[in-house]
Amino acid sequence: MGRSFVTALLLASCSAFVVSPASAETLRMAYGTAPVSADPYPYSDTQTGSLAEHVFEMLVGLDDAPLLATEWEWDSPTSMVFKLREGVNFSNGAPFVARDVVYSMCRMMYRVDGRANVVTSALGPVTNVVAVDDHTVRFETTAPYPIITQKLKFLKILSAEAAGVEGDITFDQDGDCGLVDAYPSQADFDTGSAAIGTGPYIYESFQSTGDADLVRNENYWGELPEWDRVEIRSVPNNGARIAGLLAGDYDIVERPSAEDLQVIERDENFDFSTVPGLQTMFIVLDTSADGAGGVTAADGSNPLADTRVRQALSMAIDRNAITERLFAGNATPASQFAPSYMPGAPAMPDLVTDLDQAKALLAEAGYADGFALELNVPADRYTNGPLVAQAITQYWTRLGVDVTLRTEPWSVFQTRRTEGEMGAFMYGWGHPQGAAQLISGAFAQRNDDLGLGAANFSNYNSPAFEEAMQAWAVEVDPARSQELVAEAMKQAVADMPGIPLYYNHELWAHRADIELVGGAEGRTVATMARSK
Amino acid sequence: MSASMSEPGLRRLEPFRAIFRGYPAAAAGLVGVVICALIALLAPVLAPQNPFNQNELDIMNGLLPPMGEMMDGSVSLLGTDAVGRDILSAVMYGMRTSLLVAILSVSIGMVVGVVLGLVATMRGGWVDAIIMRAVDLTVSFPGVLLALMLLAVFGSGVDKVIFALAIGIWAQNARLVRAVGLSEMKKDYIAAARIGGISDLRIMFHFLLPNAISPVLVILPMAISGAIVAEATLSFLGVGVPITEPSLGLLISNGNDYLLSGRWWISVVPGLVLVLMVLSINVVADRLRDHANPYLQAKG
Repeated sequence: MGRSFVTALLLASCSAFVVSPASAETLRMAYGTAPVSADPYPYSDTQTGSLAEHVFEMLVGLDDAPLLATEWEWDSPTSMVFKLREGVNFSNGAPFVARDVVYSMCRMMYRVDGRANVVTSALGPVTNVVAVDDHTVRFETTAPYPIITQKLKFLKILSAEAAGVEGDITFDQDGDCGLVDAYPSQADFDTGSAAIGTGPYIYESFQSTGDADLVRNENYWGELPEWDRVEIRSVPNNGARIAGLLAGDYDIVERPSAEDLQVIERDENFDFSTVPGLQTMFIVLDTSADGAGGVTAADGSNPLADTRVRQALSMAIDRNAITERLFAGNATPASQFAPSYMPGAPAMPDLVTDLDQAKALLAEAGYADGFALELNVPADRYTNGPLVAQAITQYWTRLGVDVTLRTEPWSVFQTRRTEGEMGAFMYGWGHPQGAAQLISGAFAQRNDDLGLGAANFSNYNSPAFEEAMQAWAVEVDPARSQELVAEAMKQAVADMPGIPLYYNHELWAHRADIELVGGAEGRTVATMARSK
Repeated sequence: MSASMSEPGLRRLEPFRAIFRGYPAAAAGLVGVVICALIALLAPVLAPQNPFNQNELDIMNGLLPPMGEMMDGSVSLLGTDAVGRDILSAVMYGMRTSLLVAILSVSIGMVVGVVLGLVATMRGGWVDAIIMRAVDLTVSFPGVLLALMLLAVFGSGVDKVIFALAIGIWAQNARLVRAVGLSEMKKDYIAAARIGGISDLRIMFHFLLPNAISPVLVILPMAISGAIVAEATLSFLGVGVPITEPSLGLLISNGNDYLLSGRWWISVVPGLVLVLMVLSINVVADRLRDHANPYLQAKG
């Protein structure tokens, strides 16, 4: 018995010895929302994307830099040719070739149970994808489609061989491609059998709770990341996440609150990193003359149909107070419907805060006695969302508007929003696809051929804005495209079919001995961290 | 002393005083209940700020510590929360909401429960079966879970919270009244009344009700404190009252995010008040129950 005890002790000390250096190279990250699946196709939320980014890669990187494609150009107004990177292998050993791109496009276009994938609709104008040779792919489109590379940033490349697909693949627009039986199911991804990518990490396990373990892909074509093992845990509770960091359970936690940063700042063992983000927070106003949900005026009209009323609502808001008091500076006051600091965003003057002028505008529009408005805000979606909503309620009450603030869970909010029941609601919109993403989606008239107005809840309809947007949608020249964005943006800010509020900054709290360079998309990935 | 006993007002209070004489904890609880009720009633007069009036709030006054100075030069005794609500005022108004919700939901639950319990007793048969199965169904859900489900369907708001809590409360009252009522039904006076041709309705409300109501009245204060806690739980979970009109539970929930960073007053103050209020009611309720139970009384 004594001997076995000593053996056990020896074993224990051995394993302790083995474990400690290994754990030093393990990176433990806590996400704020659980990734839905290891399947990179159906879900567009940030965390599912962050997780997938470890394992899968795209032709074009999120930063517009070459990734699996090394170069691309238009060889005719309706076809773009990509040169693919050579010497890249999938984690199952299969070489990455043009066929894999065709296969991935087929899968992207294929709707399982009628459900679109991340960019199924956005890639609708693509009529054909042809593997010219092993390392050349041609995308053909109905009309000039200049923003195709922006959309292809969301096409994660899968391995055709891993799915058991052999020979040439013929693309068709509904993604059938004769491959329907070969497409792996979501379960195949979650168990790992189909989760074969070219990325720097390989799945070890994925749990339905959103927890995932990853190991380094030792055959990765690019620079090997520092961490040979990554453990991702999903901790939706803000306090629990930061407490986990302080307790040493995690190395990096995403989205600490402004309050959490106060704790981090006082502790020399921890630090935080921030980067101005790509999300614009704004309030959508229903400008429809027939009335807007929850908005009532004495004379039965919809006050929000009047541009002066919308400008007054904007002018009553003190954006600096919101970003300074509620975000402790970790947000930037908005001046337009895209982060003013992002590439391609036009230069715009700051928005004015002037309560007296706002009151005068309201009176001029015939609403000197105000009107009643219901402001809808998701309770659990945006950082400080309910606080910001309360601040806006204060400002608008001071303007003389009778505001009822309605907060509800995201799922309920989403349903009511889709049904068009909201005359005024707060929303956040990311811009990974360029500075015109918000205005082209939320304010343009719906046009599926041009990919415009998919979420126009404002019912905004301005001929000048419309003209600029439609010209932008088919403009191939980058300089002219930027001019058109500026034109449309100026028109939208002048008319205010929505009210820009602020741009969220992305935040991470982490161990002080880790150096972190986060991307503006706010994705939490192991490759952005290295030890000091 | 005998002079004061002859005062008619005091004499009427005498049995009530007797209940608490010799029970200092219960007496202190009673004082607590009275203070809470007074603060809740007089909040608009007492509170330095109306925290429900958006015109009186300003985020520039946000997160002031206790004794912090507001922009208009006044002093916030217990500090402010992130949107500039004065915590002292918010707690006073929050008590108002908490008590209002609790008293109304318990009253509705009690009236509905007692009436249905009496109907089940009188009618018997399938009416009894239907009512009692509905009771079984209702009590088989945990109260807060039931309220959560109802609020998810009907949306949030003070009126809906009252309704959701009342649904959890009626069932226990109905069951209690029926249990007592059934034993009363066997007694001679009911039989006599029936033979005398007195209508069912009259028997129900004039004979049965006075004799079956006392156990319901005994659990009443306990039900109120339970409803206060349930409302706080719902608001803490974010499905209760609107965020612009916080109750105690919502104030605690709001302050939760600020605890780690040392801004304790936002949740600790409403938390303490909630504890004291519920404790006071419970102590009083305990005493009332003991008093009403002759067995316990005999044991002393």
